[in-house]
Amino acid sequence: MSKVPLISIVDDDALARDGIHDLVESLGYRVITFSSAEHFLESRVIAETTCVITDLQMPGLNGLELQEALQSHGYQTPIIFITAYANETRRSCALDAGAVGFLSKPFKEEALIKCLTAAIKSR
Amino acid sequence: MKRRGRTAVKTRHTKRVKRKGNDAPLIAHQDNPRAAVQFAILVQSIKDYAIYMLDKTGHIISWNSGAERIKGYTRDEIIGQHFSRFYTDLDQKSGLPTKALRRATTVGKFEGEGWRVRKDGSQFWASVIINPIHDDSGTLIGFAKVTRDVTERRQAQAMLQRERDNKLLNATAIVAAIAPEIRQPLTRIIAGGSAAQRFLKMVPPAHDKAQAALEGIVNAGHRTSEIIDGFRTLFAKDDQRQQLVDLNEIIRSVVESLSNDFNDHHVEPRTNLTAKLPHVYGNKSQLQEVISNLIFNAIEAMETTSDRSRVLLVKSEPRDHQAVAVVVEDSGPGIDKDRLEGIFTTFVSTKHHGMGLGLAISRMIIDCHGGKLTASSDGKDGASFQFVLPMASEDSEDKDGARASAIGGKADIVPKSGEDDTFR
Repeated sequence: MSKVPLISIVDDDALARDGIHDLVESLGYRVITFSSAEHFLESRVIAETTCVITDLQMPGLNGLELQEALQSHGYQTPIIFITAYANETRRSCALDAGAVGFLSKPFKEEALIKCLTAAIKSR
Repeated sequence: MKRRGRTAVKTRHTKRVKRKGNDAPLIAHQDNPRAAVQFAILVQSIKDYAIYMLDKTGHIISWNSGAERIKGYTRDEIIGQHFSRFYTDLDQKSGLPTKALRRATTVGKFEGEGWRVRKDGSQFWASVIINPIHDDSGTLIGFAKVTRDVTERRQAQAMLQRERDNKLLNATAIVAAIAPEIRQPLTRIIAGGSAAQRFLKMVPPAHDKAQAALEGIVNAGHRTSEIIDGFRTLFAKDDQRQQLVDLNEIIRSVVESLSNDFNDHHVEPRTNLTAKLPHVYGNKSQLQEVISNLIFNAIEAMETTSDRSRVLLVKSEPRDHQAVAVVVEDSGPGIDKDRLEGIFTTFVSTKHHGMGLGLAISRMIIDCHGGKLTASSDGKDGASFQFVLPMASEDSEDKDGARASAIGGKADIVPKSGEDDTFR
């Protein structure tokens, strides 16, 4: 019995976080939110998380550092970045490090759906 | 060899005025020697313009008091000299003097601006007109030269251009500051809207979830409005003037006004201000905002400090003979070295008084004042923020009338609240 994928959302901005939460939930996934990368890393759902959606610029660990931390701990969890501060450098950085997607806020629904589908397929 | 123009066949219509000392001969008006003298006195007395004559090879044959004032040479020193000596070495090498005379001869006028050199070697920006002078038979006999010192005007124009560039930069900066902040509530609105639609399409429709999503959209809308209002307040202040500022005075008044906050947060404020700190030139309210921001950040940094006393230290001191520094230190946990640069990218600090100033804007303000805002910390024993500003120079003083400020300007970028509804 395949479980409904669990999507973990990491974003320090409450508005963006809640918006992404509602959308991912309406797509039929299970969602759980965190206000910081640290909170996510301290949680018990890392192994269960099918895909991480994270912001880039956050006080404390930023999105790229979160990606690094997951990889160094042996997790292959696909990561989608959604940021208000997108630029080419950050985009290449993230994609080079294996991100499934890099989206600009506010993002197009279809773009996120595409990334999520690809992420889940890769598991 | 006889030339027609030279054989001075005196008729009633041409009369030479008697030479007075070194005065160049003037051709008198018909039958009116007095008018000629009057004219000579007129030209001589004009002090704002250098008006003088050159012979056709460019040697100076007349001089007026304006020329003496602007160029520094007395008549005795300059008569007979070549006018190219007023040009810079570079211009002389480029053949500018000759080119000017040639143009005047062929086109009928030379008009231009450029650097000229005074007797003492100093330079001024000159506005120059050269007209050829012909005798009755049409032969070139010399040139009339009018020069004006427009150095001040040029400086004023340069400053105006800088202020215009500043405004452009600031419009960009404002947009850059607002845009990322507005992207967050926009994300809530757009993602929330899609979510609500999907929730309602479900079988059965998830009404509660759709309601929650819609409520989130409304809140996000309000938040966007708050952000914009906050920026209006910041950048549409009434007082945009630049003036001589005593940073110690600002520090004292900010520290005093925050005494309640210090008490509430159990922070001990200390100041170490250098007496008679040199003034800086800038916008008082903006500098006050920067100092408030740094102090608020320090208070916040010490929120969780319990293993030692919470001390805020503000210092002011002169730096390197030409600058003034203000340092704000806290005894909080400090900031990791790799994070030090990143903290300047927070444009908006929402934690205090609704819409505080972020470090990024503080940095922008200091940049526009010609200074630098930096942070340092060992990651353990607190953090230190400092900004350095150039000292006000001798001649920067309050001028009459408001000047455009270092950041923002009046209503052309951000209308004041209540005014231009079409901006909304």
